[in-house]
Amino acid sequence: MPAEDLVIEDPTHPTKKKALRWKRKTRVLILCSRRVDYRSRHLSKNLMRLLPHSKGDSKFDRKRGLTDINDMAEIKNCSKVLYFEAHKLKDVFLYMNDTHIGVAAVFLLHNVCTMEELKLTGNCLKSSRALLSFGAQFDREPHLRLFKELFVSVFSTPVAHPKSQPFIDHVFTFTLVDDKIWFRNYQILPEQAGLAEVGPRMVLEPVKIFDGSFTGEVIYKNPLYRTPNALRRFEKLQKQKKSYNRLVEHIATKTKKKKRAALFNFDQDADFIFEDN
Amino acid sequence: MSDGINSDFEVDLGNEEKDQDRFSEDDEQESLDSDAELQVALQSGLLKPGLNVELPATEPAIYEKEKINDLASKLQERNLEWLERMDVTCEPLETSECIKNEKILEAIQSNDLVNDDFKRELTFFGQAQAAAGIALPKLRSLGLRTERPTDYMAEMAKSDDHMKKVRERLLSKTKTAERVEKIRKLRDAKKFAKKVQLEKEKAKLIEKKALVDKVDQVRKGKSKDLSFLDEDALSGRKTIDLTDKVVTKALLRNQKESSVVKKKRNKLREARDLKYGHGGKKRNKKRNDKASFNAPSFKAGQGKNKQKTSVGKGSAKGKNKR
Repeated sequence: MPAEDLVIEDPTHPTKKKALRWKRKTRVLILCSRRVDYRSRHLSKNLMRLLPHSKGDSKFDRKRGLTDINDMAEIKNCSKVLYFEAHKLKDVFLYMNDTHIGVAAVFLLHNVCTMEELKLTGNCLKSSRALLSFGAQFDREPHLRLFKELFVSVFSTPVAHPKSQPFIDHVFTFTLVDDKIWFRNYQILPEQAGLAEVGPRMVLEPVKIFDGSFTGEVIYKNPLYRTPNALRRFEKLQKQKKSYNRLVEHIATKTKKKKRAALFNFDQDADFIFEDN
Repeated sequence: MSDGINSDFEVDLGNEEKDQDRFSEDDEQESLDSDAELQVALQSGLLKPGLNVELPATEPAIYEKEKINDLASKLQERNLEWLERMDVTCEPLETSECIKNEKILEAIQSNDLVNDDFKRELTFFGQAQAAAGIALPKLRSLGLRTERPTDYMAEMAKSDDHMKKVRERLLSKTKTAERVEKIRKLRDAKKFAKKVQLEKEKAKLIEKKALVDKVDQVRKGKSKDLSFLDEDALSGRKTIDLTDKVVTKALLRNQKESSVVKKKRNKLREARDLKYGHGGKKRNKKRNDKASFNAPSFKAGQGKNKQKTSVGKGSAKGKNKR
């Protein structure tokens, strides 16, 4: 259905607003698991603030099983879910689901900056509808296309939502850099095409895509993704390697000196200098 | 016979294997490669001596294209109208369009988005601007107002208090920068002024000396020329006549004296020395008596307020109070 049909041509018509009816009734359930760190918790609060079509819920205990979230979404009449799951108080995964169609995308969260940071100077209307900007790479691969559609369904506020505000004054940007999706929120300043960053900021590293909401098979697995645990283990081993290598070098220099000394002393017992090694 | 000093001494692999037992992680891998293979690899330079750590293994990637496309299409059906989606997919604007300052443009020539934070943020900025440039005219053509009028008061994403803090922070930054600039300028001006003053004083001293010497000469009877006392010669004489022997002598003498550095006299130090100095036991030196109570303290003459103002009935202190 073309967009022109939704709006009366004459922009000064007093009943223009009534022509736009709230048709798309999507709601997003925003959840955190227990033991999520403060930054991710504030991020979820920020998203609840920016998305008027969102609903929050209390902390979710992972022991209950993730499929319970589907039931919670059903109760609250939400078709989309944003679920922040924390592991080991360090790693936070973001699940972005569509419960009606049955898709779940899992991301590892990096570099979170909330709106409360004083370096982010922009400000926007609390519940205004956002413009979504995607990098050109999102049209090139099937899985990126899927991510794009998912972002659009979650982050775009429906037209004429009762809580939404009329003017469009901020942009959400999604860009693919270093095989990760970078999220930014900018305020569109009234002056000449100016932008100021409002926040929040986050980096999403794609991990998996599931065929169902918190169930189903894996249909996409990121080949470049390594679990944070594995990376930490690797770093630990590298450090051990460093100390081990130092020890090895120490032994090497010692034997070198020994051999050299032996050569000059013409020691009868130093047969090891003639050993092939 | 081995090459001796010139050959590369390689570590005995026997020691390595013993130590590697500690790292059970690599046990399996070691058993797969035979010793001979390891030695060959080590000699050829593929393996460095010491502990070699393998990157954590990646599981085989899964990519079910048809299912992905299917789901993407399903999602898209739900978000059909452009007005509902309000999304724009585009290339970012060139950085030259985002930033007008040429100096900054020159600095950001690198194309490395991964490590160059500034460049990366600029690309995001450019992308947002490009999208806004495409979408806003489109929205306006559909009759929607995109700009918030100044009299439209509504709840913002960030509270007014928060924005106040942000503004204060920015202000304080500019203020500190200005203050630093001001102090630096003052310091430089002081230095320069000091220099000028010193030179002036030197010149004065030289002149004075020259004058005194000439007077002495006349007094001692060495010369009878009194022309130096003439009005126009005394006042307003800014240039020193270096051919004059008397003047040059005075100059030399002045130079010798000025090389001795004067010690800065600390009045506080002097006062303390007067009271507590000159050796011997200091009995009752730190106790008050009538005289010391009424006398002004060491620092009395130091600051601007040299007099103690007595409020009320005058200075009734100590034993006078009764």
